[in-house]
Amino acid sequence: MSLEKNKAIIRRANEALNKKDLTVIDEFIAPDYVDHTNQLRGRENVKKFYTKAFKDFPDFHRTIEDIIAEGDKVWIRYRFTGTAPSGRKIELTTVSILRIVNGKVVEGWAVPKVVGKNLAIDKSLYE
Amino acid sequence: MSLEENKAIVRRWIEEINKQNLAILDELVAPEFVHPTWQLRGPEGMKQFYATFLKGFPDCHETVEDIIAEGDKVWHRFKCTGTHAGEFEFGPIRLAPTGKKVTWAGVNFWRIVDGKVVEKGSVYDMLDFLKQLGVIEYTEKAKKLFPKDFK
Repeated sequence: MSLEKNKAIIRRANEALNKKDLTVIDEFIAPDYVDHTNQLRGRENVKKFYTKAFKDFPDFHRTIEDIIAEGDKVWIRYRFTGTAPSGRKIELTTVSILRIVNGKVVEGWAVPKVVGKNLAIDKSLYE
Repeated sequence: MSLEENKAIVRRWIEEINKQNLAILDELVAPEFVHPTWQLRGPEGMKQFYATFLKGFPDCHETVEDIIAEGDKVWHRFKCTGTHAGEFEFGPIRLAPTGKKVTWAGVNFWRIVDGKVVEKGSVYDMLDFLKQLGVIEYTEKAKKLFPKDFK
């Protein structure tokens, strides 16, 4: 796969996830995918992850600010916006690192870790 | 410059800063350099930043966990460790030494033109960093919501 094809996969997946279309996960995530940051294994857990994210942030939206590729990796800088359960709007920049083999994402890392303690630390989001 | 040459510049910057050799910045930072994340300009801006930061964390050590390059861009995933042994000054924060050993991770973005760094930016886990220094506390509710993070 060319670098541009790999980037196109990520752009398409991002567009679909912004529309809460989880079918894109079957299309682009390998069955044995590993998310090293959130310690998720397998496609089904990725679906659960996004189902929860869409529930917590009904207006979940990620804009790709920049994207680069080399070898089998694509790195993306996202601007995430969403309204938390408390009603507060949040905005943050994150980077995802994805390894793509034969058109499927097999491995991923996220910086910084978005869900979990980073959001929990700001009590105004959940209280 | 090739992608590998640009990556070598980033690695050299990190190695020399790990040795507290700030003179490397005169060599590697372009006069028109900008750091939009921290609003720094030029080699002097970058030098002042490190001088202040290294006062707070004199044993600060950065490792490159992963690195990628395309065109004039190099991005790398880093891990840093350091002991808060001096006054830490960062934006509005002034924190007397706590003696705490902390680690933080993130991604740095570099743009390199003709062997000089013209732009650098950062995304990192600031909240976790401040938590380790004892500046921020988790709420009881947070501990219940995300039990995995508080094992």
